[in-house]
Amino acid sequence: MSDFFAETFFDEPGLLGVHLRRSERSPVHQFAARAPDVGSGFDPDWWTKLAGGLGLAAVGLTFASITVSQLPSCSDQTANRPTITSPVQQTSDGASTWIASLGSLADDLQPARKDLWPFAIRTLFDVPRELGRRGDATGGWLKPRCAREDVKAYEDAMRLRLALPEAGPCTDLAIILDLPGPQAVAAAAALADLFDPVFLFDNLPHPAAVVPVDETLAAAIYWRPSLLTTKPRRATDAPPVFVLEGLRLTVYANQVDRFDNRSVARLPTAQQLRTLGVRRVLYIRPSAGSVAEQDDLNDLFVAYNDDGLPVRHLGLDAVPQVNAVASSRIVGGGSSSAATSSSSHTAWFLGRYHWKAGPPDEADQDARYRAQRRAVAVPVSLDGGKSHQGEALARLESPSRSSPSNSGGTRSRSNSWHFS
Amino acid sequence: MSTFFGIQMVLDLPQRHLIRERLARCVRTMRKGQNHHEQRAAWLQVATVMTSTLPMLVLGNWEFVRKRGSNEFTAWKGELEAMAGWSNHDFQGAEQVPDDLLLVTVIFLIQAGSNADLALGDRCDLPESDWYQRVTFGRLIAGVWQLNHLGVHDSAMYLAPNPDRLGFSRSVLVGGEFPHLRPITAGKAQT
Repeated sequence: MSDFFAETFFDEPGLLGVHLRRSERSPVHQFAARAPDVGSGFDPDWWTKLAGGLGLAAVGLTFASITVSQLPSCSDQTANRPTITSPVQQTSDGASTWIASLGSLADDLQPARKDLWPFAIRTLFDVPRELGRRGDATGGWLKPRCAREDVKAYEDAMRLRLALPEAGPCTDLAIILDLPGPQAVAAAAALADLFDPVFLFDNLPHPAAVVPVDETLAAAIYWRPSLLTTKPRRATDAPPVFVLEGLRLTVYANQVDRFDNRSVARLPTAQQLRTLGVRRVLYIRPSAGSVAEQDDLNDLFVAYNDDGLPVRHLGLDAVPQVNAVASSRIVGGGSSSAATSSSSHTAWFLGRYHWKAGPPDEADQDARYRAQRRAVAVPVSLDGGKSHQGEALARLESPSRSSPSNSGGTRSRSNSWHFS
Repeated sequence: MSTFFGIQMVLDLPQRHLIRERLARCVRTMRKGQNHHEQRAAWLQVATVMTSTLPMLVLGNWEFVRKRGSNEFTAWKGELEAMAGWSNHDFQGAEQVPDDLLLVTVIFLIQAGSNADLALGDRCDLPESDWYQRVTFGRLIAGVWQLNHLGVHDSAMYLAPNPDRLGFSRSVLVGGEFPHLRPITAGKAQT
């Protein structure tokens, strides 16, 4: 049963439109009147808990069509394979034909500027092509992902994208996104009409991976249309946005049941950046107040600053929304909160990151942060798991093509994935 | 008791621009009978596409109306659906000058007091000086992203004229039958 139906639909020269109405017979309609409203998004877990808590198998069945696609599969066949959280059926353009283009993912997401190609790393995006050669490019587990935090990263980055041109020309500015992979891809999609994305995902996915890049790959599939459609709007000499996997150095204690796919960032040197026309760098971490560079970037950022390439640090969630409340636009009884000061995100950005001589206009620890050489030991040998590529791909390919020992069994983790 | 929320955006989108196609696809996808999960995914895609159009936004309007939301929804729906019968002359004005302007409208009728109502109310609580800033429309579209459709009775999306046709003439939209549409400002640069 459909929860919503199209009451009217027009596909006329003057109008293309649809009006959807919630069916009064739908379970959602009946439950909406009774159930507590749970958060700002639909929460399948809530329904599951409701069904389980009440012991109402029928309720669980009623909502099976809603929840099944978002819950981890427990089948034996897929238990040993990655499970994508927040999967969706369609990509960001609403199309469901993403499987057909999986094999060309790495080619499609190459930078448009050929002089940026040497810096792009295709390890992760080449995985679907490798799986395709083995039969099924999805491996039976890969699908688009769009989680709430990804959407927030896109939204935050879009505000930054709107602020940057207003704050001055950014043709000499390189951005480095160092966010958890799915959010890094989403943020890159928001910036992609001004900046040429250079993805540096040097990690192989694996069901027991230390770095969950299967989610990053799923997010890349979701945002791929957005990244592609912005290409024509982008200047041919658009500056780069380097996209890093922010979880690449996730803590790992040599556990035998984990697949070590950690990696180190491989960014251009200061001289290479200058050759690319870059004179300034904006380094973006997820959160305000925690914008220091990761250990593997410390030496590089010190060198950038020493070579006259200023690096500024920003927390993506710090770009403010229009946040003031002076008078209510709400008609008919809305709140009338007290007035607070108003400042646009552009003014906010200009005040802190205007790259002029001297300190920023406003006190802001993140904007004032400068990389200082610190004693860090980063294992430079981290290879993203590539030294065990064959093993990893065997864990990712479609169950129907798995070796007998992997299919249908419930092997314990301890005897399955030992790559020390 | 219900609440009305609507966003109307005029986009300067050349013919055969990919975003026209993506917007059209959103409408056609939503037409299919949907369960709750698909409905949310469809609106998520609408919001994604609309966010990507912000740089092309030239005129706009939005409303958040409590208590008489049902009347407001019916009025907006009626006026918009009447455009299905418009001729080229209606879109291009007396001078018959075609342009690339596309009118995109999304409207919602929301259960009063629901989470969707409260969340959107917070989001729309803005000073008048910010109402027509580009970033405000981004903020409102983000509200669509986060909408809990458990609290949504009705929703609609309209593209006028049909994206595969010539667009509105600017003279029709500015000062004509659309006095509520206002120029979009970039925002206050307080340097």
